Amino acid sequence: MTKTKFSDSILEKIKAQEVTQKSRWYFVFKNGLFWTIFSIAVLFGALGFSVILFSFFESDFDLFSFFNPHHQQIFWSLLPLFWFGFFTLFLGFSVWGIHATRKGYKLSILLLLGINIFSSMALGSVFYGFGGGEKLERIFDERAPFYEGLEHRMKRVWQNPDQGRLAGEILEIRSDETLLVFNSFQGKQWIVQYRDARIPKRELRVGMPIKILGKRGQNDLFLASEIRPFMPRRMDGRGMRNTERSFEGRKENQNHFELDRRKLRDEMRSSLFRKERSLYK
Amino acid sequence: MIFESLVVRQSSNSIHSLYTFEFELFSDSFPLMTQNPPLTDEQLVQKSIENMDFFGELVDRYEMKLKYYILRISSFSSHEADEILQEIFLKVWQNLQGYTGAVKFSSWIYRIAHNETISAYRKYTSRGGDKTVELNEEIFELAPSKINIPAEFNAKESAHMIQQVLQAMPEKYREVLIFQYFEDMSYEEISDVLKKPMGTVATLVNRAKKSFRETADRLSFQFSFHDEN
Repeated sequence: MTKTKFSDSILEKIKAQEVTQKSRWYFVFKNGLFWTIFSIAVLFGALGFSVILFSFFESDFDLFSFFNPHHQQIFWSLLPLFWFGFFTLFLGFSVWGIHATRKGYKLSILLLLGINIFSSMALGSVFYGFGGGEKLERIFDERAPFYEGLEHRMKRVWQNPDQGRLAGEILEIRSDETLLVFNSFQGKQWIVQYRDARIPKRELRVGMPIKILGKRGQNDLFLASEIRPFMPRRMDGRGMRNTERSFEGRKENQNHFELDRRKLRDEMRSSLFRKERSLYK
Repeated sequence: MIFESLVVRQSSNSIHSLYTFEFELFSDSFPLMTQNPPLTDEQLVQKSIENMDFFGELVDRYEMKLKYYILRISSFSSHEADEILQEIFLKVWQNLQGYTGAVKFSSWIYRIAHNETISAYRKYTSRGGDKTVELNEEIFELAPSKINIPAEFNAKESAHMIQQVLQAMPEKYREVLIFQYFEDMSYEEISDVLKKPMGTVATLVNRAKKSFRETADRLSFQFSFHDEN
């Protein structure tokens, strides 16, 4: 085997500097690492997407046209911007991860984006179906000091009877098509007339958290034009309990809301009963 | 003596059988003549992992190709190119087990060469280094079938002009033109070297040809590629 001077010098340099070859496993591990980054990023992106879905389905954006004059401001306050950012960040990581794999560069960035968006959305929809979005949102709400949960933002939007938005829990359903609603935001009861209102397919029932679109009447009367469950995907027991516990807002007041729900309702009913009886006397 | 008899007998009609006879008879004296066909790059890589001497063969195969490539892409001096070339082969040696055969070995080694050269070139220019372009007509010769060059220019003048145009072009365009027209690479090979999708490479090549013509116009040279759209 004849060698030029240059190749001899290379071989000598390798020997003199004891330059060693990287193991085959180093490359296998490196490639595997990028696949892992890709997989984890898709997983997190999917979780982010499940919360986006949850936020959209809970926010009733179709009602926003009735929110004049502040509908744009309200719309932005309810958009899950944090989760859009979260989703985009992990989408970036997943594209970077798969692009850095051994053959990842052969696919165009647009195709990689498409594959990753599709994977995250498909997996995110599954997570949402199993309640993953709601759970993650709640974890962030409870543990992340910088994050304000959707529920709190919803309450802020819906606690404005002067602008025709009211939310609370049904205390009583009366035969004259009026409801007795306790609005814990303002700590007062409202008589809600719903004769002409569009109401959800689901039957109204005592204890149900609702949001009401309408018009404020005299004193404590509210004329409803539309009634919807407060957070429709939380209408199971778990969701209601959660809704009620933090109904009035911030975490620092949580002790106040540790009160038993039934006890509170019973107390209010009996006080109402006493008030009515005193009227008859 | 043996060779003489072999050469003499080549003129006879029974050359094939004689060749076979002589090679079999004296194969010990001419070990390389029996290695037919020569080892492919991929086979040499496998053998180099086990025996370093085979790596020398790989170095021999790519030494000049890569040196020319370095000179074309960077306009480093010949001495500087040799230094970079050494670093390239050391890196190739270190990463040899990472070569899986998924791409051609030439693409793989050019990828390392490209990264090392660009990195060295950027380091040099970021330190304020100013490259004086050395004329090397040999490395910038293009086959007449690839480029329209006015007849009045001789090879040396043409090479000088091509070099000037390439140096004045954006790096991303210069590199794809060098790969396609000087290194004779296909889109797939360029894609493997630059780690870019083939569609992107095709787009880059088209834009690079346009950029080449515009740069040449700006420098008052009148030539373009034959296959330019």
